[in-house]
Amino acid sequence: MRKEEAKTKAKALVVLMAFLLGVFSVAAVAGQAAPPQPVLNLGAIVVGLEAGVAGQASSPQLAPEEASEQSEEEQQADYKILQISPKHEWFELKPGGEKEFTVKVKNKDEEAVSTSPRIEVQPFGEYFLEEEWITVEPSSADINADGEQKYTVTVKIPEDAEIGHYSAQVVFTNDTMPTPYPAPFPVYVNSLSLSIQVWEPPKIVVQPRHIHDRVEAGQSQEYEIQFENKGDKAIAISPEIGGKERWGGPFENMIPEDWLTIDASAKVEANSKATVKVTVKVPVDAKGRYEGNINLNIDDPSIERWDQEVHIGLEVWKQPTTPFREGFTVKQGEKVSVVVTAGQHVYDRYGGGVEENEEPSFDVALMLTTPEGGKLTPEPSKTVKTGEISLGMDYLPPWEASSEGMYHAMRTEYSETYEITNATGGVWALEILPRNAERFEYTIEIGE
Amino acid sequence: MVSAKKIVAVIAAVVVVAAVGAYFGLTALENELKPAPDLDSGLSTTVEFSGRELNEETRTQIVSEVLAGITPYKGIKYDKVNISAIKNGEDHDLTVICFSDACECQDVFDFTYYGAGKQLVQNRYVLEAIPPSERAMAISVALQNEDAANLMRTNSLESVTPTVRRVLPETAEKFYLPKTLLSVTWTRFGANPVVVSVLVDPDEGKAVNVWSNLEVGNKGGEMGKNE
Repeated sequence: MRKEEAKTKAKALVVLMAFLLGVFSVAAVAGQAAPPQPVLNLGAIVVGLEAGVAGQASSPQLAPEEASEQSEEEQQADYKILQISPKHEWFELKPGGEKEFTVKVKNKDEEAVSTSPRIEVQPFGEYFLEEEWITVEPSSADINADGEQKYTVTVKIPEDAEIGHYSAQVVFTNDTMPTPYPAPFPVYVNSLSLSIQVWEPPKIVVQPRHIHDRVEAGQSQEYEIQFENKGDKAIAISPEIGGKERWGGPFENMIPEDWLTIDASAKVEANSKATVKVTVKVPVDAKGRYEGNINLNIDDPSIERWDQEVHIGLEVWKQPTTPFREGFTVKQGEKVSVVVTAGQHVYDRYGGGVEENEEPSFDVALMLTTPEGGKLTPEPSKTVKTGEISLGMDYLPPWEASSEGMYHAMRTEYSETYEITNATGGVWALEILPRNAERFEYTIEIGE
Repeated sequence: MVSAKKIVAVIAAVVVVAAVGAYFGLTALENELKPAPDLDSGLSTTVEFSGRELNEETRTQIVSEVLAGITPYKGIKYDKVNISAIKNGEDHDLTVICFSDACECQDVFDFTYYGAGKQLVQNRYVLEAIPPSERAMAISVALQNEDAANLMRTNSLESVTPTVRRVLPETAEKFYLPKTLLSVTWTRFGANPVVVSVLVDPDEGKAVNVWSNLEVGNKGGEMGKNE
C-alpha cells in the first residue's frame, strides 16, 4: 500500500515538474524579441521595427500585416496633394534688398484643404533665413478641390545681413514625409524651398588673377598684383603662398615656397590703389612647368573664398646655347635658300609683369663641313611677318555679333630668309639658334 | 475787424509758402542746368581724316555725323578720332578708330555714309576703349561666376588673356536690360576652338549671362546622343 502510495506521489511530482517546465518554456519563448518581418511596403517596415522593440519590452504585439494595413490607411488619410509652383526658388539679393514673387498652389485632392503658410528653417546650410525676413500673403486660405490659390511671398534682407547663401522652406500644410527611421527634422510634403544668395559687389578689384609666364632658369622675375579699393573703408590684405580653392592643387609640380617673395602692405586704403609685388627667383637647375597659388586673404566678405587667389603658372626654360644643326649637300654654283619660321598664337603671349618684346628671332649660320670651309653668318635677305585674321564667325558670343566682320588677330608668324648664291659644292651645315621661340620650322631650298 | 495778430499770421504763412516754393524752384532749375556727364568729352578731341575724292562739304558733313554717332565709355573721353573713308560709288565706307589716353585699347566703328540721303549708318563695331580699372573689375566679376570658372578650368583657359568689350544697350536688351554691359571673353583658337564669354553689368558688378561655344554644340548634339 505504501509502495503504491509512493508511486502515485512520484507520478504526481513528475506531472507537476512537466507542467512547470512547460509553463517556463512558453514564458521564455514569449519573452524573446520578435525579429523584424521582411515586408515590402514602407508602413510595414516601420511597424516591423516597432514590433521588435515592443517584444523586448514584453508588451503586447501587433501582427505585422495588421499594422501595415493601418499605416497605409493613416497615410492616405493624412496626405493632402497640393501642386506648388514654383517648388524651388533661388535668387540673389543685396543686404537691404527686397524681392516679391508669386506662388501658385493648386489643390489636386478630392476635398478642400486648409493652408496656413509658415516659414520653416532647417538647421543645415550656410546661413538661415530669419522668419521675420519673409512674409506670405494671404496668411491662410482654404483651397477647394481642384481650386487654386496664389500667394505673394516677399523677402526683405536686413541691411546688416551677412553675405552668404541662405535657405528656408515655405510650408503650406503640416503633412510630412514618413521615413523608415526616426528623422531628426520633418520633411514637409507641401512646401517650397527657398534659396537666397545675399551678395554685394566686391569693394576691391584685383588684377591679374592669373600670372602665366616663361622664366629662364637662374633668373628672377617680378610681378605686380594691383588692388583697387572702391569702398570708403580701408580693407586689410595679407597675401601668402598657398590656397587651393579656385585653381585646384596640390599641383604636380608646386612652386617651392623659397622661390617666392611677397612684398605687400597690410591694407588697401579707402578709394585708393595698392600694389603687391611678387618676386620669383628660379634656381639654375629648375626645369619644366611649375604652379602655385597666392592666397590674398582680403578682409572683404563680398569676395568669395575661392576668389581670394591668384594662380601662378611658370614655364621654366633654358635658352639653348648651342645651335640646332642640319646638314645638306649642294652642287657647285647652286643657289641655297633657307627659310626659318616661328609662329605665335595670340593666346601664347605671356602675362608677365614687364612687357617684353616676345617676337622670335634667329641666329643663323651656314658653313661647308670641310676643314677649309668657313662659317657664313648671312643677314636675312628677307623677313616676313604673316598674320592670320578672323572675321569673327564662330568665335563670337551672341552679344558680340555686332563685331562680326571686323578683324580679329589670331596668329602671327615670323620668318627670315637667308640666301647664298653660287655656293661651293659639298656638304654644308645649317645652324639655327632660336630666341624667344618655343619651336621653329626651317626649309632648305637648293637651286633656282 | 481783423486783428493785428491775424495779419501777422497771414504774412508769416505767405512768407513760408514763398520760401518753400523758391527753394524747390531753384533746386529744380539747378538740376536742369547740370551739364551732361559727357558733354565736354568731344571738345578736345583731335579728328584726323583720311580719304581721297571728298570735297570739303562732304568731309565736314561726315565728321559731324560721325562725332554725333560715337559715344565713349562712361567717365572717359576720346582724345583722338581717326576717320578713314573709302569711296564706294556714291557712298563712303568709313573706319573710325577712337583713342583715349585713359585706355590701352581703342573703339573701332565701321560706318557707311550714304551720299544720296546724306545718312550715316553704323554697320559694326568692336569697342575696347575701357579704363583699366573697369576692365579689371569686369574680369574679376566674370571669374566669380561659377559656371564660367568651371568652363575655364576644364578647358585650361586660365592662361588666356580675355578681351573686354563694350556691349551697347540696343544689343544688351536682348540678353539682359537696355544698358551698357561688358563682355569678357576667353578664346582659344585652333582646330577645336574654345570660347567662354561672360556678360557683366558694370554698374551692379554682377555677371548676367554666360555663353560658351561648347555648350551651344552640346545642346544640339553630344548631350542629346547620350541621353
